Amino acid sequence: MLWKIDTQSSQPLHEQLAGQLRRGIATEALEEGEKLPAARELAKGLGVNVHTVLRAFQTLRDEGLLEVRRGRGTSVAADAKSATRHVELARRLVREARRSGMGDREILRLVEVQL
Amino acid sequence: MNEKMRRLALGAGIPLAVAGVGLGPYLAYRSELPDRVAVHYDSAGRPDGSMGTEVFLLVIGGVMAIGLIALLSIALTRRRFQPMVAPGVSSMGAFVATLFAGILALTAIEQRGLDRWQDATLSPVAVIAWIGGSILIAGLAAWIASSLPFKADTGTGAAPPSMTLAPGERVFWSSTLTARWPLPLSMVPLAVALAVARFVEPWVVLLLLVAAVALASFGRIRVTADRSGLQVRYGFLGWPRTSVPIHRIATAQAIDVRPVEWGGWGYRGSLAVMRRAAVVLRAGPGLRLDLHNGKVFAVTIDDPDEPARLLNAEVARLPTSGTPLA
Repeated sequence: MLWKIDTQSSQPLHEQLAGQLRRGIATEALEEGEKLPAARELAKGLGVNVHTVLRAFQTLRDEGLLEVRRGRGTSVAADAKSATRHVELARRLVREARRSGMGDREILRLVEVQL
Repeated sequence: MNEKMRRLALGAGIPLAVAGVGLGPYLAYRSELPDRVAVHYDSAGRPDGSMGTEVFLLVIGGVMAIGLIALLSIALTRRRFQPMVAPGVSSMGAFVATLFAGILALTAIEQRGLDRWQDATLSPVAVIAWIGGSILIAGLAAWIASSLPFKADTGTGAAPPSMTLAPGERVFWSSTLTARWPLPLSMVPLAVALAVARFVEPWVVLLLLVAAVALASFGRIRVTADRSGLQVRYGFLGWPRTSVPIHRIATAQAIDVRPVEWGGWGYRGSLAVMRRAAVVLRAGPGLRLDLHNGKVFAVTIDDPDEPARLLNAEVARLPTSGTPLA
């Protein structure tokens, strides 16, 4: 897949990378189970710090989209395609709830009620 | 050197030189050779097989002639071959011819003045020079043949696709391709190795295992493209690898790779010797790089349009854009 970042953008690089990963999974440019390039290699290719890449990988791992296995590298989670939809919906919920003036606790309760 | 000179060098220069090296000493020292010459040596270097002097000349000289005729016919043919054919056939012909010319020459030089073929010796230095020389001549023949005109293959001929990159934008592309057949095929040497392990010498088993591992791992490549150029990594270890630095690339384009046009499957050709090389794992989409010095590199990969656009964009924003460095 094609990775693209803008070093002159105001958006932090790790967020740009995380966005690229999410889009890649959503558009199936990255298939479920596919191995990602090594963080060091990706960092070198894009001319960024390796920690920036690792931070993006970490974010996506926390969202359940990536699987990090020791010694086997990072790969796209087996159910990443559906997970990416839920993550996107949750982000939208938080964004719109905040816009209508809700606090973090209210948003959490909003979700809890639905469980 | 114009085309006529190159054809002359390939079809007459190399054959005459090789035939001279092979036949010269043998014919000159014929009267000093024993009635039979040693033609085979055991692992300790003692001769254990012999042949009549005349028959030996006929057999070995005959094989040498076949190799030289292959060179001659490539040089004489006006028909345009597919790009890899002439260098491939020429290097094979030159290699076989030089190898057999070397046998004649070595036999004459080493066995001159002997009474009995059993006294023959073979110096390791001569053997190394013989095999090394054969490889060199094969490379030379391939190099000359690769400069002969071949069927035009400028790819699609369309304008090279590119992408728009803002000054601060950085791009990286990566993809893997696994061929279907090498992994199952690697089971064959593995099975043979296990089956015969008890009956043959250890080095035979080792050789078979190496073949199995090589087959299993080389069926997979990983290709990356970024501002430094193109990298192809072979096998599951990602080693060895081929790199094409960005400043050597003139244009990149997506092509349809037909293995017959690139000399078959595997790593075909050689950038140094044949002016073109291709990594072919299957028929179908591939990326073709035309280098500033006229050389061509191709690799089979899915969605080759993306790396083509990336590389063309990176070439365009090189500070020395358009000027050949290599």
